[in-house]
Amino acid sequence: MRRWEQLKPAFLRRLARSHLAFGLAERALALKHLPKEQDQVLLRFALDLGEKLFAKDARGVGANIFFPAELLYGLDIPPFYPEVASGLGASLGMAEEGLAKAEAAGYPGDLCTFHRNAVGMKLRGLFPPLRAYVATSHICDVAPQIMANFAYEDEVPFILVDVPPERDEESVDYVERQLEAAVEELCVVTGASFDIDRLREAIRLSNQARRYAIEVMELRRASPSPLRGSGMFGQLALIAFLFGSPHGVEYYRALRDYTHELVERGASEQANQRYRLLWLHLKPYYPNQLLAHLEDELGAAIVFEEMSLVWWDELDERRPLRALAEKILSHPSLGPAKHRAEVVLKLAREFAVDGVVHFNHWGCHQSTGALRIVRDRLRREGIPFLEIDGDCVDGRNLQWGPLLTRIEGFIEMLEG
Amino acid sequence: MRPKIGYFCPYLPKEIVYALGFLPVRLLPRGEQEAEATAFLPRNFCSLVKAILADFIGGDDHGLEGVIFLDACDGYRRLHDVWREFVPVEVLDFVALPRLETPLAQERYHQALRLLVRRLEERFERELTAEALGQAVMIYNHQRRLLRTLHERERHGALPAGVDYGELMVQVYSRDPELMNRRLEAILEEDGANGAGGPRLMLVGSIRVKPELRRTIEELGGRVVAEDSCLDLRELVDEVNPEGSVDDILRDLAARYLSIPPCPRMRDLRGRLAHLLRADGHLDGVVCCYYKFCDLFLAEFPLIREELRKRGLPVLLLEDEGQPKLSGQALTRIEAFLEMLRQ
Repeated sequence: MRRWEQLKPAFLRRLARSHLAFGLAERALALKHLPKEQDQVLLRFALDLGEKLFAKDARGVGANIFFPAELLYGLDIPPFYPEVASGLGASLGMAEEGLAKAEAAGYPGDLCTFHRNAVGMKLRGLFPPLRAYVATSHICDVAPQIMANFAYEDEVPFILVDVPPERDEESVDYVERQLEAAVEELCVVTGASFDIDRLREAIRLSNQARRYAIEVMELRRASPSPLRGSGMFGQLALIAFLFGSPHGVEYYRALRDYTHELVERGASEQANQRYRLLWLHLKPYYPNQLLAHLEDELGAAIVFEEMSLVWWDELDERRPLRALAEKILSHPSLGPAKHRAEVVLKLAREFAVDGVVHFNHWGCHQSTGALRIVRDRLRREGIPFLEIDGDCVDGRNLQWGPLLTRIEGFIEMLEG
Repeated sequence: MRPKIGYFCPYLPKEIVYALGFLPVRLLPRGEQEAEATAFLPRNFCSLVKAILADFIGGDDHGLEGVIFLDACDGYRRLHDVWREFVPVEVLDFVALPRLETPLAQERYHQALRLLVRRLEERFERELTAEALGQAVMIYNHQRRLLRTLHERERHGALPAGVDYGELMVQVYSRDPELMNRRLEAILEEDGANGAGGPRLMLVGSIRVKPELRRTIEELGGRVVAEDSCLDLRELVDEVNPEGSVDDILRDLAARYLSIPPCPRMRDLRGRLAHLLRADGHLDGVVCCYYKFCDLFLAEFPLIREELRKRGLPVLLLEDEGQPKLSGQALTRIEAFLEMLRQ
């Protein structure tokens, strides 16, 4: 086992670069080992993207999770999101080693584990070679810094898109002009050529996926809740990675069809549903009992997740960069916490929830720092609110006993 | 006595506040227990921000007419959120501060400063004149020239005995600049030689390096020859042009302030390193003293440490939990670090 742990990074690196691996995975796909169409789409997407990112002379670009993928697809540049890779790594049991590597490199233990694990995974050689890193400055302070660090170490350009805290027209102008400059620089460093029609096509695909994703959101208001919330926590990653690609349209169309079919039949992926919950922030990505206990034992249905929200308006393909600037600036977590609180309240009402749960990911200060404002707003409206402490990436920071007590207490309170 | 306006970040042009007849006061933690703030911000939140909040949460307005926030970092963004709800000191503005130094960002900051001026004028029914703004610029230009000289003297170990450098910097950014200019002039007139032997250190901090740390290092035989913090080298704006209309001066202020030695919020690693290494050759080691849970500085730290080490400069990281005194563990680590540098 120990030997396998030592060999795993090298094995995964070779696997990722191997066309044989992609071929085998495609064969597996053809055998329909994944029963849901949307999951098959995701696997095809991951294989396509992996092949592009690890190809000889690949021109991938790393980005923070709030940078719109439409722009990169519009330039025919494969995107890579280290934060998403970090969460995936955690789900594959690779966090402990990644975090240890980051600590050995000098990253203090209080920094967000998504970013530290990304550092560790990169140090283990698991990331593809990238031509540049690009990041928006909004919402999370750490991500752009880590991208800047990666770029510095790899001696590739780092492009920062500075996002102001307001959503006015001047801010849209400011971000749009920076996106124009980013496009120019990305073309230079990757050898991509700018084609406005290709960018418009990415915007069109994003809009199509968005329409399906909104249908999924609307279908999820049904009672019983059609989907298991625990299965929907990958949405933040998908919102980052998929929009602007044909796979995004396929995925959300398939998810819409699947959800629609469940709702039509009055069926659900989760049998035991006594309470409806809205979930804020993310979940633990390593194997754990939290969500299964909540859903199956306690009968709490996570009917929607804050991170599954399609928050932006339809993008105007006639002015694609301006549309992407508007998308960036319309994020609910941009600016004062009261914006986020109002969005959460609206979701709580639309999904007719009995309570709201916030998973306090250790190290995510932008999110937990807003909690007092969010909690007070919900309590003023009489909506029960529970905070639970833990870590999305590092299982050692999840204390199951106290957590269980808090959750059960909250559910008892809902019963009362 | 001018009425006081509080501010939090060195990127705010103090000249605007002063020219409108107020005294800009840099808000620093006074050593209150940050536990007071834990009902409003999480226990693992930036200890600097929580310490500042703790000073105000009890209802004391500290004689301030209001405060000006800048969109400096996640920590201050969240402080701004709870401040508006729970602190009885008016928020006069939340200024959109760019993270770039490009002409586009300078123009954006210029617009933000125009908006700040308009809000202050309306709120206090005062008008900002070019004459008053130009005068304020000249006062602060003079102060920065004096501070540059002071830093040079510090670097060469030639500060007069008895000058408590950390406390002096706190006074510089919280008292009347004309008064402080006279005090700085008096200090610089004295001959000094505080630079006895011992390892020469640079201190790197976020908003400030606690005076206790500097004193301790010096008591243990180390010599602090430079400090990079918001209260020190990062305050050194290039000369601002006092001539022209209000708008001309605001434009120049925007450009000059965005080009101060960068804080990690600007994500300009090369600029940060170039700035830190200006004192290279005069240094034996570097002590980074960052507030606990200060993401920006902690995320940047590994690369800064690596680059400094490549140049033969050992680096010690201390995390400050907002207490006025150094912990026993910190003291031991400083002793060991100095011992290592002496060998």
